[in-house]
Amino acid sequence: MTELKRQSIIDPAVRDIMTNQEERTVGSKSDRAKKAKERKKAANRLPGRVNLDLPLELKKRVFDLAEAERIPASQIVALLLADGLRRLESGDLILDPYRRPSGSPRYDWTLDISSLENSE
Amino acid sequence: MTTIINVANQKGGVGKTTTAVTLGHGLSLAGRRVLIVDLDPQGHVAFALGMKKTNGLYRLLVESEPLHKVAEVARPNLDIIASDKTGEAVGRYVTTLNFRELVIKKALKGSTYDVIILDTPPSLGVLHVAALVASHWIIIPTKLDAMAVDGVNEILRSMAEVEQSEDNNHKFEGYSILPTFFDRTTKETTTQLRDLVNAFGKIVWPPIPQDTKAREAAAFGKTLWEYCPDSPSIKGYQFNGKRAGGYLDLLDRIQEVIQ
Repeated sequence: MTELKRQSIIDPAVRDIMTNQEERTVGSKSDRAKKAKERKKAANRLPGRVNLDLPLELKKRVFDLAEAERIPASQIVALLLADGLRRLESGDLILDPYRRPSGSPRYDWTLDISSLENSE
Repeated sequence: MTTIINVANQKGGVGKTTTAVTLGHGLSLAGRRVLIVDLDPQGHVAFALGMKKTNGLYRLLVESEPLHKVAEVARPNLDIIASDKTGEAVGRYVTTLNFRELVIKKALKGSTYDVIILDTPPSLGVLHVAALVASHWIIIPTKLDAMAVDGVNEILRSMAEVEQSEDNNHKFEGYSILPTFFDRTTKETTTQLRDLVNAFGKIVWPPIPQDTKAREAAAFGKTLWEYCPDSPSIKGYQFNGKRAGGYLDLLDRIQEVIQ
């Protein structure tokens, strides 16, 4: 007996486009959901992670030191920050010599530390 | 025998002229002798081909000049009957005729072209009906929004009326709905395409992708084949090694129709 085959009522090319579009929609939705989930996971895992803009030369010195001492760069930065903050709080380190008026509406001052950077 | 293709939708801005010009030039490049008749007083067929708007339609239908005298050469194998603001007067004149619905059919009778493409105005006037009566095949371009899709229903209703009228004694060889300005990044486009396919099935042909190049081409008086032959509006979508949609697909399908 001849096998019955259901007839398509849609143009095959139109069906291809619709199927492809549905796949793209599902794909992009799942991509977005995945990325949001990953971001949330990363934030939970690394609550102490920050992004800071550093002078390139300073950054290089930190990484060179970390490499030479075989210590994670984050821990070198943490040590120097802790020491710097302690000196700042005790008055051994003062900001005034480095202060420059800021052109930004958000800040009053910027710090120019080029004299420190060059005093290797 | 000449095949007359009517690019029609009572809704404006759905890509009728771009479709008529692109299809016409595509067929002429494929070696067919093609005439595009601009029935719209806006005269955009001439504009899209970088030519001056003229009163060609008026001379053909009101002054009854022969087709070969009125036709202007646009490209090799491609002639046009241009239109301009005198096209408004054509509509008024035709209204006064006894056999007004046959006026275009008569004017085009005995032509030596392989294909004649009628670019109809976005209105339901006497010229619109006369163009339907003259046509073998109807292409209905539509944007994928609710109002444009409603325009598809209107033109199908007009076609049914033409076929039912005993005066016309006319049967269409076929028709197809051509989604235009297809933007697959929007949900509304997807929804409307699905609704259109559910309602009309295989009559819905693969869409023409939205393409900025198409707008630019008209501004330079160039056809898409001249200005951006590799653009999505020509080549359609490519996925999984397949190609679908775009004017190249439309051209292939129409060539099958007129063989």
